Amino acid sequence: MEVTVLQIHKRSSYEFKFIEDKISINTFNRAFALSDGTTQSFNSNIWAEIITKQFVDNPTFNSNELIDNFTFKVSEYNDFEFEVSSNPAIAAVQKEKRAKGGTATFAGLQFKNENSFDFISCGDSNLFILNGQNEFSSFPFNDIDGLDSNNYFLNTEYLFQSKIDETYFFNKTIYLKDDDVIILVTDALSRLILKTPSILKQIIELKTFEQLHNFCLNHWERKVLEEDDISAIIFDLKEQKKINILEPPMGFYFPKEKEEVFIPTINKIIEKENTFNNLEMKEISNQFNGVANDFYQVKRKQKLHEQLLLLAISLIIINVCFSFYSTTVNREEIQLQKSEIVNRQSILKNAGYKINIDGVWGKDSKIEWEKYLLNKTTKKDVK
Amino acid sequence: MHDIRNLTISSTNPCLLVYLIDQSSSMSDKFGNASHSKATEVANAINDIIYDIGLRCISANGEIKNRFEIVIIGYGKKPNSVASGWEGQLAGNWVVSIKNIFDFPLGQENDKPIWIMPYANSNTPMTKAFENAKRLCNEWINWGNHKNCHPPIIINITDGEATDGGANYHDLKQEVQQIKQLRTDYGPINILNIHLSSRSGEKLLFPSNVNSGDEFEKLLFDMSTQLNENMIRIGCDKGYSINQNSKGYVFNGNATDLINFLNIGTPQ
Repeated sequence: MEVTVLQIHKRSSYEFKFIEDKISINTFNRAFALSDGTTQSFNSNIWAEIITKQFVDNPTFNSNELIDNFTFKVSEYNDFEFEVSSNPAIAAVQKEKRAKGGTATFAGLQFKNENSFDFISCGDSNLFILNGQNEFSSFPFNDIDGLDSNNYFLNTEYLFQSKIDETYFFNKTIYLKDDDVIILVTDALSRLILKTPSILKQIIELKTFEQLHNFCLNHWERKVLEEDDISAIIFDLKEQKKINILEPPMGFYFPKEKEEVFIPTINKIIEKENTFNNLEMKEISNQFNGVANDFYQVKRKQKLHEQLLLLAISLIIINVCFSFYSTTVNREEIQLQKSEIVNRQSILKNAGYKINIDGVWGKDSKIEWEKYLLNKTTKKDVK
Repeated sequence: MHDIRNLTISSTNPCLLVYLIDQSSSMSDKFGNASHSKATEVANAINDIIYDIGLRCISANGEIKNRFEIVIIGYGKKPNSVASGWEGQLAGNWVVSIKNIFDFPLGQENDKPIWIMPYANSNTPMTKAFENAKRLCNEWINWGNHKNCHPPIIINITDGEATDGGANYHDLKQEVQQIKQLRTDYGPINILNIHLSSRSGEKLLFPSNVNSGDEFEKLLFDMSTQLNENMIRIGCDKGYSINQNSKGYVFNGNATDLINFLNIGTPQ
C-alpha cells in the first residue's frame, strides 16, 4: 500500500510552520491521524499535533476511551507557555482565548489487514473511497450541507469539563477491494470533492509538491476552493509499500500581501457638516470665489454666444427673404421670356425660317434667331 | 457570483461591518426590567461584539489580524445629525480596522476593553444614517480587491421610528433600496434591523413575513434582507426557528435577542 501525504498552508499563513492541520503516522501500528486546528481557537495547531500523535501511538475506536485519552492530554496543551501582549486590550483577548482552550477536528484510522480498516472522526474532516470504476463513497458526510452543519469539535476545555461524549464521534469499519483508493481530507478539500467528485481523480494523480501547489493556486484563484490549510492522506492499496510526503520544501513561503487600510474619502465630506476651523473656512471661501469666477466667465461666454446666435438667425432670415424675392423676380422673367419667345418665333416664321411657334426657346430657336439677327444686320450694312 | 461557503474572511479579504446606533432621547428609557437604559445596553452589546471579533482575529503569535473593518454610525446624538461613534484616539474616523480598534480602546470595564459610550439625546435621523452607510459601503466595495470580499453587513439598532423618513418613509425606503443594489462578487449587502422595546408585546424573531398591521414593523421588515446561509446556521445553533426565507429582523427584541442578533450578523 502506498501512502501519500499532501499538505500546503493557506496563503495568509505565509509559512508552512503556521499550518494548523496536523498529520501523524505510526507505521508500526498502521495508524494514521489527521486534525484540523481551528483558526479561531488559541494555539489550535499545538492541540491538533497532540491528539494526532496520541492516537497513532495508542489507536482506539472506542469513543469513550478516545475521549479519556484526549482528556488526559489537555494538561500537556495547557502547559504550553505564551507571552502576554503589553497592550491591555490584546492581552484581555489572549487570556480569554486561552481560557476557551484549543479546538480541532479529528480523524483517525487503523488498518486491521489489507482489506479493512477502522475509522473514527469528530468534526468536518471526511473520508472518500474511490473504486476501480471511478465510483466514490464518503463517510461521514455525503453532501456539503451535512458537512457545513457539523458543529462537533474537540475543545480542550469541553473535554476537561466532560462536555464531550460519544455522540461527537462517527465510527465505522470499512471493507475494501484491491483497487480501492482511500482519501482522508480536511473540510476545504472535502467541500470541493463533494461539489465536483471528478476532482478526486486529479487529487490522486498529484505526485509532486509543485503539482499540489499549482492545483491549490488554480482552485483558490477560481474561488472554488476555500482559502484554508489543505491536507490529505491518500492510501493506494494496489501500489507498493511506500510513504510519499508532499509538503512545502525548506524556504517555501507565500509572499506577504500588502495590507492597505481603507480610508473613505467621504470621511471629510460627512465630518465637515458640523464644524469648520478658520483654515477650512478660508479654503471654502477660496473655493467659493473660484466657483464664482468660473461662473462669471461662463456667463460672459454665454453672452457672446447669444450675440453670435442672434447674428446667425438674422442672416438666415435675410437669406430667406432674398431667396423669396429672387424666386418671384425669376418667375416674372420666365413669363416675359415666354411672351418674348412667342414674339421672336412669330418674327422668325414670318421671315421664312422653319420654326414652330411653341413658346419653347430651344437650341434650334436660338440658332435661327441668331441667323435672323445676323441677316438683319448684314442687310442694314448693305443698304 | 462565487459561493460564500468557499470564502475565508482574512486580512487580505476583510469584511466590513456597519453598525447604525439609535442615539435618540427615547434610548434613555429603561431596557425591560434592567436598571440601565437601552442606550447602555446597546453600547455594552456593541463593545462585546467588538471584543468577540477581536477574539476571532487574534493569531497564534498574539497579533490581531485585520479580518474585519468596522463602522459605527450614531444617529440622533445631536438634532438631525449623524456622527461616527468612535471616540478617543479613533475619533474622526469612520472605517477602522479591528487591529487599530484594539490599539486604541477608550478604557476597560471588568477587565474588558470598551470603545463605545451610550448616548440618548435627540431625534431619530435614521435616513441620514442609512445614507452615510450607503456612501461608505459603496466606496468600500469599489476600493482595492473588496469586490472579492464578503459583502458588507449593515446592522441597525433602534427603538423608534425615523424622524427623517419623508412622506410614508419614502426617503428611508429609497436609501435602503439603493443600498440593496450594492454587492460584491459574493452577493449583495446584508441589512439587519433590530427594534428594541421595553413595552410588552409579541416578539418577532427572524420572520419570513409580517402581517400585524404595524406600519413601522412592516417597514423594518421590508428594509431587512434575507439571512445568508452562514447566518441561518448560527441562528439555528442559537435556538432560533429560522428558515431559508427568514429575514435579518427582530421586533420587540430583548437583551438576549440583541446579543444573539449581533452574533448572527457577524460572519464567523
